[in-house]
Amino acid sequence: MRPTWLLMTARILTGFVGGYILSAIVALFLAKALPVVRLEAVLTGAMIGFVINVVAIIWAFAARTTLRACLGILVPCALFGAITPFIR
Amino acid sequence: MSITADRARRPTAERGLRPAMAVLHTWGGLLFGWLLFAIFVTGTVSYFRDEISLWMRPEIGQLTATTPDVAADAALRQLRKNSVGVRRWMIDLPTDRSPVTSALVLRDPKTGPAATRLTLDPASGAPIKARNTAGGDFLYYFHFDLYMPQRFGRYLTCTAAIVMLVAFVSGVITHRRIFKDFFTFRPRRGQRSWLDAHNALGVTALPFHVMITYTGLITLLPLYLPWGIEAMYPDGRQEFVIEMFDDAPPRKTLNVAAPLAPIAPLLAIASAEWQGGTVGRLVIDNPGDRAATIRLVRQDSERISHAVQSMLFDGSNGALISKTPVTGAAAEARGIFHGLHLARFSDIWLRWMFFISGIVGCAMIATGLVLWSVKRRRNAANVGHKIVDALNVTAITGLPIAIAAYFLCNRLLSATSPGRTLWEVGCFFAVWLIAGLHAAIRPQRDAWREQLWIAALLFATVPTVNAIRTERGLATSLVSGDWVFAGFDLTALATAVFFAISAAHYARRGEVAA
Repeated sequence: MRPTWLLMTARILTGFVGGYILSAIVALFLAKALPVVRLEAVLTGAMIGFVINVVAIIWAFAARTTLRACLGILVPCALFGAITPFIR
Repeated sequence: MSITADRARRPTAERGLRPAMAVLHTWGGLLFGWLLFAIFVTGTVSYFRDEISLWMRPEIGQLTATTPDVAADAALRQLRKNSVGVRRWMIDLPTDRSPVTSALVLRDPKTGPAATRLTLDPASGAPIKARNTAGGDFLYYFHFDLYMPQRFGRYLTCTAAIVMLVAFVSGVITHRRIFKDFFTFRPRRGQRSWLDAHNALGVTALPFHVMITYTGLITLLPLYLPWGIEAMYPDGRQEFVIEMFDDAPPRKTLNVAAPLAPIAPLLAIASAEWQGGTVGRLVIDNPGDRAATIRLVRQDSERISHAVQSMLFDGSNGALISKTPVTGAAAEARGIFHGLHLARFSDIWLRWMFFISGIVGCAMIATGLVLWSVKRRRNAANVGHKIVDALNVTAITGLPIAIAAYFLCNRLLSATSPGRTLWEVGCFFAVWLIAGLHAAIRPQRDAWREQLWIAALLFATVPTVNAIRTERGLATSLVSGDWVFAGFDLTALATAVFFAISAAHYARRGEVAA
């Protein structure tokens, strides 16, 4: 059986570390992908990134199981992380 | 094995949304609460940054207002008297809130001090002899820099802001009957009362709190989320700074002497460009050289948006070189968010509303911190609990005590003593440290009671010492309608009364739970 503190640590790390990484990746993705001048794209990405960061932390604690909490952050990270390098 | 038994073994988060959010709210709030309280207090006080700076330099009397033309011309005449090795003059013209012209002179270090600050009479340009002080600027910079080296304080502030936003969301979800409970207050019921107060304070100013926290993050946007900038500006930050703040590096000097073009026509051109707006700042690079430039920046109190509007002129012939391009939607949104946070646009009444909302925010954080302790009073003997109690006292009463000491230090130190700016700042931190030690040593009840009284005493002393050490005591300023000084002294007295009432209430009830 997995001890409680381990599950809690996983959620804390997912929320606070994973949450920041997700917001950074989304901000980067939007900066590159949005079809507007670069200043606009960069600022839009960062302003949305802050919201993503907060939502991700809430999600990490709100998800029914720890596995869902982790996947909910990891999957979008992987998805955006995979697409972003190919945007020109 | 029954389902309930299985559930009991799961972490709180897996028992349901509300308990999970309660855990996040409680522990996130506790760990960052002290920092957030300090950020909220110094931020709230910074709504009156200019007024505090004026109070801390009582030598600056009430000056007659002038037009920007006169002030700019007078300042330039004064600065030209000593222009050897000057690289930049940055001149902030007087505003409704700050009646002086302030100039920053940057020099080639071979020819003199690298940076000199001057306070000038707007009408004559003559330097005003006023004491050195860290002023309202110290509290303003502490609000996000935390007086830490490098950018460490700013990163910490950003993280705290994210946690604050998380606390708002999780707090609202935790709060079962947010509307009904808003009208509930159960006084003198210990833990219940603290909870009701925390909820009422949080909900009342919730829109303000969310706005101020999110816009606070926006002000530090390039620091916290630089990844888009890094990717889209491969040639470095400079390009981003030019596009965002319209602030290009100065041109290379030609070493050919040329007088500066008359300033008044340029101010008129800028004013026409901004549909009657006024110039707030002049940045003059390489004055006296053929390659000089004059950058005119619009007064930031005229618009909600803090996005820069400026015009760049050739310094010798006055020809327009460039002006801020029309901004896009995102840049404009960012500018408005930044402007909302700084509230430079607000008049005195709105400013007081912002100030009061900020105080409500401080009270919400303070009641939350106390609630944590009161709720767990059974464990009061634990080391962890004792640390929380000591830190609560250090933050909630220790910081106001340190601020009062900072103001007192400004009045008690000789106006001419060298290094007095550092003494003021040192006094602030030393007193805060002593308050922390006091909170750690004394039993919790005594620590609260004594520090509440000390805070009351010190804030009452501020106007008293001001009346003794300057000619601008409360009676004088009230009679002469000097609202900056009267406002400061009256606010200090009101703060003293607040702490005295809290102390008396506390003494009568005999515990925080009162």
